[in-house]
Amino acid sequence: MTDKELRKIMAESPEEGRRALFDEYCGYVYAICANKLKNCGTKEDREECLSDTFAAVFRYLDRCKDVEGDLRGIVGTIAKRTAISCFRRLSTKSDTTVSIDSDSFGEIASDNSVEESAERSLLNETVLNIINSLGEPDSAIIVYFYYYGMKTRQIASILKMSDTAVLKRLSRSRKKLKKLLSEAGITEEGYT
Amino acid sequence: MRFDDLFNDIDNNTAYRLSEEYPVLKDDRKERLYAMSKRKYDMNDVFGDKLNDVSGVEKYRRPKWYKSASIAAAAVLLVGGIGGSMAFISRNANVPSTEVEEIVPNTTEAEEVTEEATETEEATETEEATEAEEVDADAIAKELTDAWMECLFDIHGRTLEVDCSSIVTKTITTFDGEDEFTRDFYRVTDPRYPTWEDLEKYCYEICDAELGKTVLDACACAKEEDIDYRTLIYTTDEGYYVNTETCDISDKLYKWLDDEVKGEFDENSNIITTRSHIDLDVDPDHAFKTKFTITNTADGWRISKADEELYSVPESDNYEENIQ
Repeated sequence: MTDKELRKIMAESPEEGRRALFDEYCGYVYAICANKLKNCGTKEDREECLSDTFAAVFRYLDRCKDVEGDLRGIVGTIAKRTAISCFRRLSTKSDTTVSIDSDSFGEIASDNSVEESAERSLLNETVLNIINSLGEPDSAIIVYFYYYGMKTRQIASILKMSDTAVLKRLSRSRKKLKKLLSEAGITEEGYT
Repeated sequence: MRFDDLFNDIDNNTAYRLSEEYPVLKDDRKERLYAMSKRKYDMNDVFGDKLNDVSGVEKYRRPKWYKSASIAAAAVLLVGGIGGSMAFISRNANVPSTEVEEIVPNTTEAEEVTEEATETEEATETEEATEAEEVDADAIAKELTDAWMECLFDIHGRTLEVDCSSIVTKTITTFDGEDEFTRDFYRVTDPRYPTWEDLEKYCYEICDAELGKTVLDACACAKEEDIDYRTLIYTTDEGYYVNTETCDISDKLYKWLDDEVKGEFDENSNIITTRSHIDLDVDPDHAFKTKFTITNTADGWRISKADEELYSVPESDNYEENIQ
């Protein structure tokens, strides 16, 4: 469904518009929330984050009826901000102090650089293309494990496989993926 | 950039592609999430900004099995504690008598007795040594480890003989309890093991009681009434059934890479041997090495320990975080 169609439904019936917007973007918002909370949240936290996002999106669209922006962009930005706020709230329960000497210190994301952001988008796209080239079910195992942060038991249930088969396939496809990434110039030292 | 970091901080386009190419939300879950979102929106609509985001919190329902599992765990601790104490007491109870024997001597008679005892001990030791030398450790190691491999494949349903014309379909609930799927099973007609109990018995002819139990507990077998998403073999009073996929995808090859087997005695007179294999079905790229400890039990030689590990796993292959 296009933005134009969605806006038309929202103008005619706000209730139906909200529902259509939710159906169109719930998977998208879930992917953002799950990815951001994969190392600190539970399944319930992700669902809380998703519902907080949509409640905020609905309120925003009520207030700014005449905003012309791309809906996917608006929803994505609100989802990301909600997820970051949720991440901070959940992370206070664990030790989040990062030493300035730590290796990961230099990798904290910066919102300011358009160039970095574009480069990162290109990298994400390449990585996902390479994952897709692994073929099913290996690509799905990698995506569920690394992007959505699912447990191997959950993946086994979704793909109707045994835990052991998922583990072994994960190990094998990670090795393949590293090789393919390396061939594409993406290594742990950086990417070219 | 670490390997794991490649999957963090995704941009909107990647998130959209993930949602389109790898969707995870089912219809009923979407309905629930929409209701949750709408409730939060409606509440804010009524109370405006005065309301903090505390809605939508769902009451945590502790699983029913949790209580019984806690009781069982507590019972294990209690029994372990009592058993440990008993063992400690009985071990200490032997100490005084040993000391007395050592102190007694100083008479000619006592010296004679001691000499005789020493001679007897030496004779026994020599007999034992001869007996150990006579045992063919290599042959025992080969026989038991070959049987182990065969048994393991059978227990997981990969090499059992089945009747492919007899398929039973079972409806199974998914891990999260939100969906159902079907799984097909063949009826097992393997003449080596007419019943599942025969297979269990064979397992205990190879493993000692403790390892046998561990192996059987981990084999995804359940009674028909207890089938769940993990079940690949189920048993009934009339026979047992194995998941069709497990049988169909198996190339039925169970082979060690090493034909020559070397068994060596350790200080406890156990036989130690190491063998390696490749699982062609699920992971043809890695060789697995298994170290066996074979113990002489009251029932004969049995495998008491089997530690399997991957060859040369790179350090960066650390993916413990979400493995469960």
